[in-house]
Amino acid sequence: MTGRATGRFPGFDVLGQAPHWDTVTADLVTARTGLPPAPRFFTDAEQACAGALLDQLTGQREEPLGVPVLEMIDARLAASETDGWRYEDLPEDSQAWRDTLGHLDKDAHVRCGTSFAAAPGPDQAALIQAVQDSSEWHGLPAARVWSLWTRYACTALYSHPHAWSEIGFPGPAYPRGYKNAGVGKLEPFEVRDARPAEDPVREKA
Amino acid sequence: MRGVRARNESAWLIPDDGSRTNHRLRRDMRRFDDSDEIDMVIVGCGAGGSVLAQRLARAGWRVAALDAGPFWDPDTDWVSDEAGSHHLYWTEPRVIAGSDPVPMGSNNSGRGVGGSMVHYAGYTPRFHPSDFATYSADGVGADWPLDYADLRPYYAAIEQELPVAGERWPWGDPHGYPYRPHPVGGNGEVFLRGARKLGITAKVGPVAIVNGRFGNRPHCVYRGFCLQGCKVNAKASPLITHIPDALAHGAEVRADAMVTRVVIDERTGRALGVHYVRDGRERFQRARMVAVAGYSIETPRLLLNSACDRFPDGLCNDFDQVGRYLMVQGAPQTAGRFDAEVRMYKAPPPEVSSEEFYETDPARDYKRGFAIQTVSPLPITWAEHVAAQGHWGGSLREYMSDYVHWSCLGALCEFLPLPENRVTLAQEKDSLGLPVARFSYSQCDNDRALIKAARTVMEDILHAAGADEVITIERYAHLVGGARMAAGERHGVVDRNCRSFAVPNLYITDGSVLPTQGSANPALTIMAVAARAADHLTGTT
Repeated sequence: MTGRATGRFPGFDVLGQAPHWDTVTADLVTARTGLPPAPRFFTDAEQACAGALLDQLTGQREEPLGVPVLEMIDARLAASETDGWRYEDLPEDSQAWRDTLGHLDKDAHVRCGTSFAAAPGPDQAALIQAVQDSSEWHGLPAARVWSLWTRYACTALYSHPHAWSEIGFPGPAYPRGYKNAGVGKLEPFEVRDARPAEDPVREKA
Repeated sequence: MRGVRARNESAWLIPDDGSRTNHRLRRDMRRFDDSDEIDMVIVGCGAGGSVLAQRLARAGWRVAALDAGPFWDPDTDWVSDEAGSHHLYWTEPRVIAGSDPVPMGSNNSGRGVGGSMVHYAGYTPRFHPSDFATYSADGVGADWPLDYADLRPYYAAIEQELPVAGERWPWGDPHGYPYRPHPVGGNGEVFLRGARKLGITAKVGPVAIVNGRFGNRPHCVYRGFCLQGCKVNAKASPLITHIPDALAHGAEVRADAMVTRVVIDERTGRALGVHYVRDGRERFQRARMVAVAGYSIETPRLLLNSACDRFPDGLCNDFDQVGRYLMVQGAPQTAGRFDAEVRMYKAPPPEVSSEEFYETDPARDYKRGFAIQTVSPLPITWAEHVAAQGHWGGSLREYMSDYVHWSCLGALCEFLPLPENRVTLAQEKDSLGLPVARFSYSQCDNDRALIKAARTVMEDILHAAGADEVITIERYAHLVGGARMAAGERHGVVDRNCRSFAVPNLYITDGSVLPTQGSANPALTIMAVAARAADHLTGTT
């Protein structure tokens, strides 16, 4: 799997387009590439656990993108920036994060005798996979836990220009807009996929 | 479009210097005192509240429209970015429950002047004539206390005010649009190609996005961020289509003002005004009449939180109708993978629709139907599709790197109004100490059958267009109902003119009054219903 996501859009770097963005957007997006603020919400133990979990979920353990997903999620939770709802059978988001990180550490101790963060990568992966595969996990509906983790993780990862560069998405498009829409058409600043037939779905079929 | 300017000058009140907001109009806005007994206080400046404010102000009424959120300036408040648009949504806590809980926030809930139309896609189809009598025709849903002909002139009027661009519309009551259809991008092209191969009619539009110049609103630049608030002023929302004209005619828009309670005179049973919180201070605005337009979650919540001696179970809730029959549309999205690059982000997400499957088909084992539209998710939303297939880690990244090859369609399935799908009050309180809404949703068999059928059609279209793989995610879109209009007080909360049965000077003018939803995006109908209510109030009808 390593390296499969990278290199499909050779030389494409979204940040090179920043001079063409409106200043409000440009300031917001480029700030994401700066040094992230130190975590305020998670405890030290939670930070270690969440960091390992999020590296796994976002594939950054194998292929680092330099996206500080842990810090981005911590900042959201510290500011109570939720999605505007919670499932009735799950605590509100910040408590749900604390609870589930605690449960992951417990699982790691049972399986490996260590914290989740100190567990070997394959063990971490197996512990995560077990959550995805179960219906109930430590008394919580596992699908809701999975939804919480992946929602926060994906929102952080794919808000980052490094991730946009990896997938060929040029990011903000104002005030410039697009002039060459349509199947197979490119703007001068877009880069064609170097491996267009590499269809992950078909390959796994 | 000369006729439009004479009755709604909003697009001409926007600056023509490249900025998006008429600051002088806002600065010079009329401001009422809390102690003034104004003619109408409106709760919520979204699709319904803004149209009502503009119409009443034009008729000379003294109107203040309060909104819990900010008075946006697209230049400084909005960004061309998914995660950075979080503040456009209602993100105060809500609890979701039932066998099919419906996520809120970005999915269906706005905050601030312009309401959810700030971040809706921009589709503005009309309802079909059949939508107004589904119970009589099919034994499902409900009959409205008004019919399509009652709304037709309001549909046409609002379509000019937004204005709407699209091909001549062959479905429902066939009609044209004031602006020609937009050119389509890769996603629209795929939909049109697949539909043509299968003999399914699909049309470009109808979208409330300027195609050409309209007043001082410029042409769309096709940047693809319609759902993050239109920085161009090309996509219609009441912030630019109705509020400027309302201000010019003496209405006040009071932003950042959260209404907490409608107050009733226990002796006369009439509404006296509303309590609200602004800048941390509790205040009370007196008014001769009150219109609640907080949409399907906050409107029932406000009524329930306004319980008093006369209405111990919540305002207008003598017959346990408040909060009930709330609807969402089943909105599965199916994506198809092409070796060619589709790059679906390079156009407005709303491009092409088909209403071929909208009506009840006697050959099917379900009633009513669905619409199919292009949706074009941006990366964060697209990651939701990929994660929903179970991918995480390296596999998630690999699928995501394939983004430019995918095309995505969405369905709107007409879920039926059910009494147990409703808003009640949770134990949990918000930052003001008010109980938050608990929204319970469970699908019925007909709902599930529609999702299945819509998914099959979307898969067929994408395969016909040449997709080698398809994936589907189940989700929901839109909200309507929760304080529906009905022929009598035992079956709903308001009458055909949006006047509440229980309180003679209390109106509800938002999506919560809709008894059914069709397979149409609701914004245009919400505006049309509010415009009609305004005519009733001003004695024009």
